[in-house]
Amino acid sequence: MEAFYTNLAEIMEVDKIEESDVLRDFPEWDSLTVLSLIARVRTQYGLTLQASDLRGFATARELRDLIATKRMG
Amino acid sequence: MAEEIISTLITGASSGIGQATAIHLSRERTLILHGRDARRLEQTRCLCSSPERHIIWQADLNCIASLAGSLTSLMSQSGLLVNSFVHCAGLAVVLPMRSTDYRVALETMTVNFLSAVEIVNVLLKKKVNRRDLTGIVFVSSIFSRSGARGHAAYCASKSALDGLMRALAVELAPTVRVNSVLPGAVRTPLSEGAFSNPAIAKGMEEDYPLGLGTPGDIADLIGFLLSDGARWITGQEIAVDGGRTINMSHRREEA
Repeated sequence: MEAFYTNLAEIMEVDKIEESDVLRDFPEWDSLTVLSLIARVRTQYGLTLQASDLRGFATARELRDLIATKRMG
Repeated sequence: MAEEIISTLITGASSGIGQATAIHLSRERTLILHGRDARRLEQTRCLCSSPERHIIWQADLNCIASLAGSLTSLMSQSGLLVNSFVHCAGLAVVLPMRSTDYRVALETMTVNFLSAVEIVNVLLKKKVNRRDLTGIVFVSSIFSRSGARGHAAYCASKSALDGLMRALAVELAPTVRVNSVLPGAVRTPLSEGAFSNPAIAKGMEEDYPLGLGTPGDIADLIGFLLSDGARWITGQEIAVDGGRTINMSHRREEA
């Protein structure tokens, strides 16, 4: 999971992501970015998220924890 | 060698438009049902008329290098000749261009377009298929002629398919007729992601003057294009879209 924030930064086109960053505050955050993120999570972690899964998340940390939990389950 | 069987090859027959086309054509034709998943193909076969006479061809179109060999050996082992080819298989990856690199685009191009090149190539070989091929229908998309956010690879692959269609229509005339069907949004497993979003589903209904279509609406035209009733039609892109692409109305305000 160490690469998670790096991946997220690449998708959001910023240099660095902090755990407390709010996803919807990024300028690049839109419906297509959500699709990019879903595709990246699928190839990187073998998890298929739905766009609706992502709507409930505020921060980068919460998203990271969701993926970590799903991978364990 | 086994007895010769004249057949119709349908790619992507395990679901959606391919499955509807298989069911429609199975009344009068022996089919080669292509798909990736043998179990789902078997389900399609059971939905067809005279299930026992149809043959299953399991292959991943993305494994492009082995496709021609796989089809050739199936045809020679089972004594199959193909007079009609319907290419329904398709992949729709929705991603912004900044996440679309050549690998993403190549997979879409391979499944949607290059596989058709390989299959037609095999079906034109005299040693494999004599001169039996007479009809080709590609299932393209209204996105072939338009743009949509997140659909760069998909739009490009469908435009490529339609370009191939026109070139083949000229090169292979008068023995083979080649046409494309351009469906609008019909509810299939491929489009389910979009339809499962209520806001998108409602917007789509408004965009379609005739409402949303079904896979059967597309299968009907494919059946016609392969029939003698269409003997003077070749090289055409025919939209079956409930009026979607001619609709210039503004969407009504949200209530």
